[in-house]
Amino acid sequence: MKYNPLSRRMFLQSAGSVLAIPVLESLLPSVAQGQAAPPPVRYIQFINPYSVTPQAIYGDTNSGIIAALKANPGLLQTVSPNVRRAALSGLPAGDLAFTLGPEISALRNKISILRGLDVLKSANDRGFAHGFALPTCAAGPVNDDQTGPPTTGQPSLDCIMADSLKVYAANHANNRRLVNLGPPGRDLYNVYEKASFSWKKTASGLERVQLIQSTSPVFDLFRAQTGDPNSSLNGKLGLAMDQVHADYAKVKSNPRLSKKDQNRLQDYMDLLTDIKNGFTNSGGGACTLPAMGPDSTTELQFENQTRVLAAAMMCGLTRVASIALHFNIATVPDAHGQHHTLQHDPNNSQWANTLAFYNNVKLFSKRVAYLINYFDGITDKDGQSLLHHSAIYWAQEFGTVWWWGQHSREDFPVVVAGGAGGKLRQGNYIDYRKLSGASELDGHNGVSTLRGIPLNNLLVTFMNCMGLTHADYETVSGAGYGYYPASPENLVAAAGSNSGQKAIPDEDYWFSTQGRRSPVPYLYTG
Amino acid sequence: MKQLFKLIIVTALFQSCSPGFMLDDSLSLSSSVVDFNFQKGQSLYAEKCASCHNSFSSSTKKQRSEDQLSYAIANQPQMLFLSSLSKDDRLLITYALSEPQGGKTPIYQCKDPLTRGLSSDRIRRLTKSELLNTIHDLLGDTLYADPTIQLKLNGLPSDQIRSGPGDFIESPSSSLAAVLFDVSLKASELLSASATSRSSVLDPCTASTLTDTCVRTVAQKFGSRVYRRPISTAEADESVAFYQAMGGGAEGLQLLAIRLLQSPSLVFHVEAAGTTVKNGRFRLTDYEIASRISYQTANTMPDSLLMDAASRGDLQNLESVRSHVKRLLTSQKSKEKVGDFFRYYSKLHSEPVLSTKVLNTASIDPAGLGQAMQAETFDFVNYVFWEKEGNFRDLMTSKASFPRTPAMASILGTSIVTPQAPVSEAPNHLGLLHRPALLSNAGERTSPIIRGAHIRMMYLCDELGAVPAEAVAAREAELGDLNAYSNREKTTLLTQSPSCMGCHSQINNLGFPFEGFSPFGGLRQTEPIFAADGTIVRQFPIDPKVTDPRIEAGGPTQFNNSSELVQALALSKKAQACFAKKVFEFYKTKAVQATNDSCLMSETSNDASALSLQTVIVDSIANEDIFWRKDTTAETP
Repeated sequence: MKYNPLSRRMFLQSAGSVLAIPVLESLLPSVAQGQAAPPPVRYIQFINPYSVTPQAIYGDTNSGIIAALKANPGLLQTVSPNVRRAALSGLPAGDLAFTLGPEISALRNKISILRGLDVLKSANDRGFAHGFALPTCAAGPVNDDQTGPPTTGQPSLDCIMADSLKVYAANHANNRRLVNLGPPGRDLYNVYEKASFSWKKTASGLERVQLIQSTSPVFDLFRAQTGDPNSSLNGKLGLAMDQVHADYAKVKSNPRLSKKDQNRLQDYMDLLTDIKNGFTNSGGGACTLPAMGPDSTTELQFENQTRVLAAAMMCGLTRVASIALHFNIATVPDAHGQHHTLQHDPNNSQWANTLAFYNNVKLFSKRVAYLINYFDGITDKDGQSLLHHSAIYWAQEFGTVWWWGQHSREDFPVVVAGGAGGKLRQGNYIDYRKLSGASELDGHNGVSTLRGIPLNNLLVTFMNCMGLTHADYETVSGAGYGYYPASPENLVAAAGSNSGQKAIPDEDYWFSTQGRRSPVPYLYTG
Repeated sequence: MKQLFKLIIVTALFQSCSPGFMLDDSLSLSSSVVDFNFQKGQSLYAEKCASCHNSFSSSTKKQRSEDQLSYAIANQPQMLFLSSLSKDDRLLITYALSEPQGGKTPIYQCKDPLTRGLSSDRIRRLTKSELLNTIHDLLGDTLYADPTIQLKLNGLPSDQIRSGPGDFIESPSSSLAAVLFDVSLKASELLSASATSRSSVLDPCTASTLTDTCVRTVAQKFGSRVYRRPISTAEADESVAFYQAMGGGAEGLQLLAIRLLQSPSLVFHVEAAGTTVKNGRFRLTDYEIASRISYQTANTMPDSLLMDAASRGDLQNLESVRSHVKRLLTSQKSKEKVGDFFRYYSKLHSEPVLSTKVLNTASIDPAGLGQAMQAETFDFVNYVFWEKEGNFRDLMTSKASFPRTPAMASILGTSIVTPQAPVSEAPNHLGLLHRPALLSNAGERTSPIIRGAHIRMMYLCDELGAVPAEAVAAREAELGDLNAYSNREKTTLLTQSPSCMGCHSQINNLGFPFEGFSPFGGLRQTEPIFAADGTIVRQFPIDPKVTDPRIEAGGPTQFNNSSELVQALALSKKAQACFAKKVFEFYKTKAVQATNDSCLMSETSNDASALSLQTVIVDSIANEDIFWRKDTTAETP
């Protein structure tokens, strides 16, 4: 164990109670829900850098999902003119794809694999398909080094949820509205060391949320809820924190400070208030956080973080989490270099090395599977699992990487899980591309000619799952969420450099106000 | 075989190029610009040298280097009287004697001295390094090393600037409050448990029975260290009252420590106490200046000498500020910061990844080579910066090298360094840009585009647009087998359309001269093409000559090789100003504001043309700006 005795006393009041934590209504003070209301939906997103080639996540003629569908075309059902699905349970046993390893493949009835979700672009939009805003904002970054906030000026979907009064009560602790985790196995690629995929609105514009990279601070975020009845200081710590708060208030009151500075101080004072409230609330034991395993490896830290997160979600301390899956520096000392050397290999001459590199993405799928399994093993107050009341989104930094060497904003590889309280339907491979036949199933091994529907609508789907509507994310009425070119025609024109590129399916609909506000078909049943 | 080239063009073709780091718009290219360094050098020569070596215009010592001058001073008895000349004075004399070529027009010109300091317009949070160093200094080695405290501090997010000032997130992270709370709690526990710790960290009076007088002393001594300024009588009274309200005794002291260790000064650089207002700015107090000196130089809180100087009111004087910056520059924390700066300047954050196929063909052992390359680069930088006290010209052109393995010695074409011969000379690897770590890439072929773009962006501070990936792909498909072309041919073919050349006219000609160096940074005579099994199937001759490199107005019009290119960069006003700009960004954790920082940037850019790199950093901190901060009193949200 790596926690100090005081911390452990505070939490481990019920040693060994890892699962099935009982939840009392009275102990969920800050999450808006009524007496008879079902448990709230929780949202968890996983994002990892670099992305993969289509074959690595969907398979190809010889392997994975695509091979199975080509071998047995009857598995693929048309559920609407441009939407096809295949039950994952109907696919051959074994791994669904190279990067979808055994752990997540075993959960095939509880996940869905989506294909044909594109981030839109226009002729004058930046060509590079990098960017920390792409999977969570459906928009490119503002700056050339791809690290800036989204061009749309809209926060990422997790931050929109975190700030919503439909998700949290107004007095909910700020530092628990969005838990932004980044297990410590980080790579050295430039800004990735600290990078999250979350962009929050601040007084000075959009700002990237910083990651919590080890378990301890995650634990600490929630500790204040319980306090430590054994500590002789406990009764006075709240008073001391009041004084700390007052010290900041005194600085804030200095007229020399700008409004922005005052806001920045106030944000920090809110965090102090969260800590102070923990000692003045009498909720000792309200949220029994789980026993922890050793924290000595990245994987164990991830598992510990998952345990803390699940417990915190069960007792209403938080409902939104974002997890950045970064490459482990110990095993991939220069992920960026390897990515460039291997993933952009147009001739596939280093396929064996590429697969070795993709083992890291396979490891990510193991982590995602761990969380899904863990959530599935926790019973919520209505007898359903925590997984049933969660919406889980796993995306990759940018769309697929094409063999001939380019990142693409198209065809974002997406895995979703969780029932979102009955609003999401799982267990399927869902293809949103406009296919003219099974021969196109492979998609692009070269220049893409196929288009899917906007990824924007998947993000809208998750916001719908959390009870949000267009009023919560639109900055201009009818504009939807994420980036849209001025018109569908512009979008088609922008594709002109890709010879033979097709229009997005049903583009008039998806560009209409109604379309922009719509969740993705078939997956969403709410 | 094609993948590297495809990668190259994918990552380095640019859609649009902004004017970038252009000349100050208030300057005319034909204007007569005074070179103050030249004037100073001339003046020093007239005073110290002319009596023996003729007047400046007919000096017998033209083109002498600073090394030669220093050698003569050390070894010629008649010149011993010049041993009191500072390093920068010697550099100025030889700068003038070298009749500097290259761009003549400064990038920055001071527009309005009354804008100095206006770019300091917000409270900045402490960086992670600043916070860790500050807590270390406050708690001392023993408490700081406590495993629980270390565990908690490890939870702070990394926030080092890597790509640019935009990397720095202004607001404290959500976990910072929890981490500071935990650290304060644990530290207070440890203090409570150990009279020795209390005595050394708080005050010796706390080792025995606590009294209000002792608590007042703690507030005054430890509190003033936390706040980085003296605690007022009222604040000391309030601290004692707090201690009493918490029940006094050990518990009261513990809670006072918890409070102090979460103070605003540990989260933010608060500068709001100055009273003198001028031109929308207010002048900082001595203690605020002390903090600026210490944090900008060494990433930590002021030491006792600085606090004493502040108490005497010395720090309103620029010479005094400068002496403290120079003193702190040699501290260990400052040296770490200098190392981090060069990581930022050259984007040397990770070890190079190399193609084993290419290395095997050259019979170079790949084991540990990336690490050795990175280490050699820092050896080189440390040598130029610290040992040689070199200037920008040295950084760009020194032949010093530091191979510590046979592989590195082979690549650099020189011998391994030893304790007896700690510096080797690499005949073909001039300066920073020829370090193997910066020349290397992971593929089998070199990348003129990436090399050229790096120089354009990192060493000339020009901005380049994004890559039109689809246009690249289309052009690539059109060309077919790219292995049929040399790098130079391919690059030219791929980028020859007018739409591409908008940017590539600025990129390619800075990359081609380096074609004389392999993907692992060794000198080469031909460019090999490899088969999948590692055999060489084709070789192209190297053509490193370029015309119209467009470094800057008035700059050279052709290079025969990369050595000429780096020598031109060494003399380039634009490259010198870019270095000064990078120093500013890294040391001040913010971007340059064209107007408000123009005076400082003109000074440090001028420094970079002749004076030592140490002086560039010292002057970047110790200058008139350090006294001022924007007065935002009247600002509305």
